[in-house]
Amino acid sequence: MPPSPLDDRIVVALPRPIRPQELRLRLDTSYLETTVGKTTVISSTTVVKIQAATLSYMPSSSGSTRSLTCGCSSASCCTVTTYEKDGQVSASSPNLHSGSGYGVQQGSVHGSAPSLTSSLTRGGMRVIHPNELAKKLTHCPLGHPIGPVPVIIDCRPFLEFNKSHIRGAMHINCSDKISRRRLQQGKITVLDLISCRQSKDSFKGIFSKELVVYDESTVDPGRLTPSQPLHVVLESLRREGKDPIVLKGGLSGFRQTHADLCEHSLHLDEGQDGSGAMGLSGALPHSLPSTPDIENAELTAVLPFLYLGNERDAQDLELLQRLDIGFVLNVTTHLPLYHYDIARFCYKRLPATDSNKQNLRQYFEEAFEFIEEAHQAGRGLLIHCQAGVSRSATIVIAYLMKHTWMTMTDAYKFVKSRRPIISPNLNFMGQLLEFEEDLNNGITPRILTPRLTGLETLV
Amino acid sequence: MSLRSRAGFYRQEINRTVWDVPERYRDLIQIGTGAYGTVCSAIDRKTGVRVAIKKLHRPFQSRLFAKRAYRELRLLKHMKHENVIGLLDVFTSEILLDRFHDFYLVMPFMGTDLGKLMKMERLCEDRVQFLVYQILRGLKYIHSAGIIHRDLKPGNLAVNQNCELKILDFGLARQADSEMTGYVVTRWYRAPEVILNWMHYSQTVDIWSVGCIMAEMLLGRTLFKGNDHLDQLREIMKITGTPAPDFITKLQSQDAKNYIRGLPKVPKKDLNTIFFKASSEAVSALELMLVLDPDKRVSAAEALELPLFTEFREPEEETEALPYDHSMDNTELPLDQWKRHTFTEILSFQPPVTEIRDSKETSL
Repeated sequence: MPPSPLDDRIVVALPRPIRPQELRLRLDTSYLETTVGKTTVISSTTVVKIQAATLSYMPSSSGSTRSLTCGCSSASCCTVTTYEKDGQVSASSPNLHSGSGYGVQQGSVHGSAPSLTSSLTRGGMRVIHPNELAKKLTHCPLGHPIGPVPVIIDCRPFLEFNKSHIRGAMHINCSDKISRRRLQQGKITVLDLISCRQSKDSFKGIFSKELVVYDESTVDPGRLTPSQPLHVVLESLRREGKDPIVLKGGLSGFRQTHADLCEHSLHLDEGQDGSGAMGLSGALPHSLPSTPDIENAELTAVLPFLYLGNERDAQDLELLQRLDIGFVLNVTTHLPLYHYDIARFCYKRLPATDSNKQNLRQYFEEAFEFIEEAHQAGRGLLIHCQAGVSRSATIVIAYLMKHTWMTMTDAYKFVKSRRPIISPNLNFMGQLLEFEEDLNNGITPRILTPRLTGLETLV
Repeated sequence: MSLRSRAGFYRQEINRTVWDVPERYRDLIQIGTGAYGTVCSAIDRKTGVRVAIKKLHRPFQSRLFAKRAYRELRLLKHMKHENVIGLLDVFTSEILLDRFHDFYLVMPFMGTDLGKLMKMERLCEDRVQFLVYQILRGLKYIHSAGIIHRDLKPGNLAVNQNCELKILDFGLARQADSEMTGYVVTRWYRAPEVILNWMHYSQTVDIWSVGCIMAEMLLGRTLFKGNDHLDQLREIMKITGTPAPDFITKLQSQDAKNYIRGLPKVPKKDLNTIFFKASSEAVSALELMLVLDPDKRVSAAEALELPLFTEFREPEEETEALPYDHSMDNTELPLDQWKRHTFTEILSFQPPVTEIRDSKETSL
């Protein structure tokens, strides 16, 4: 497109014999007229249509030319631009005369009528070329700002907008059919769909600026179907009394030659984009839904001899031996007494489920006796359930309450500080609360001697 | 159905996983993997659209796995709603039951999920309304089939670039026993009665989740962010207040009742003070969803009629499902019978009718 303005000027300046060829190349309708019209009429029509084309496609180029001629300041350039736009839509012959700057014989007035119609039609779907928009985003060749930077609206899907958009463009959410329907029905305006608060504010003040709208790749806005977002947006803007201009070729066309004027809010690579499909997963095949911390929890020494763990810990013979664990307290109905066959451990099973019906308190005293047995023997004790989160943790908390002055809250926090994943079910919490009341009332006596090691800084 | 054979299929290894897929699916790219299996995006050359293909991880390794695979397949086959993920295709490259060991689920490709979307963009209320409306429409459908999701969270809500939403990964199997208490993966969106194993579930557990998700979209942060289930309960009660006596009497466990009664009294917080930027209609909707007593929570069908959604409603698309037959869910069968049932379900699959969707799209 850059050569276009030069081509136009050359055409105007070319000697007479060349004109018929240009007519054929540019305007089929004009060519038809050539075969039936007088020479003078042809000449006038040619001049007028070239002018119209220039105005439609290269308004700032004309402005630039005028500024060269007039030596005006930037403000004057702006004024000239406004004048040109008026010229485009004028239906008055006298204005056309003065606008074109050519003397016209009276006989050619009829010949100019078709070009007026053409101009209006073209004005109804005004388009702007990527190069032209790029100029507006930078500056004219003389270094003068040509005019205010236009307001640019991107009506592609939000995720596409985030990947890439023209610098300074604002996004409107109009990809979903409900938004389009509401725009069509006039229930909302384009302003309502602007997703960014700052853009919304600037949109409110744009009555004096040009409005440029684009989608992904539309070349000819006249061919849009009514349901397409760009069409819906254009109609809505017109209904509001605005005069939008469509970027020819959309973002795709613009980016081909002006990638430097595009920016990226977020760069989503294919992997990240597609990772949304991770949500497609079915139920976990493991019987135990897990978070990393529960799944990977390591054996916890709550006291120097008292270890709280899970099924995996109970299976780990090497671990048990290394820690000199000689007692295993299994608080499940179903997990095996691992390594029973090697006759190296003392076992106790407290058959309990982690449920809101389980009475775990009934096992407190025999659990404490077993723990004391290990303590007296100077060996370690592993207390475990499935995950070391609820049942076994509850018994450890109760043991601390029994053998120290800790309240339920104290004991809970103490164990949690060492094994953050503990989380007794509400039913067990209620039983611990009841146990605390009984301890405080002397119904169940505390056993405070010998003092437990590992608690020196506490009560 | 015509006999299947290796002809028409091709084999490809992707990240050490062998994929045997029909010729119509091309350009496979792995987009997700986990304990459940592997997901690839692909181009369906018949329709030209991108799809997600999920290969289950050893679906017949055990009786438990086989039952779960069967259940997932049946649920997906049953779901035919715009806001619920459904099956576009299901295939296996084997034609004989004896050799049947793998199968693949084909679903629509969705660009992202709500969790990621919320990280990228602060959603304006209009968009929140539209997304919540779609969630409720999908939920009405699921619930009308007698299915409860139980694990709604932003990561389980797929969103495409047109802001159209589909519920994923629904119908989380009810756990074989209640030994899962406290072991939940993500508890922030779970109803209190689920987290704390208070009582039998009803469909309104999902409504609580919708309330949490909607609140998060409006606030830009998680509403109830507990670090264990007791802490979760505390966070919830800071806003809902401690439960009323009539609700406490509904609890099944006497010990749980005692514990709750022993908690310090907390008054209910006015949601308007938390969501001061939101419209009154939005706050009203949250008030009806974030109710401690599940019996008093609004249902999905009732929620769709709230003033908040008046402008978006398309009642003709707020459809109900055919009842889903749960009888197999409580059945214990040998592994090879689950396998046979799964094979039968694959052979009886009928693809969705594409013309209907096309005409619907055109009618816009």
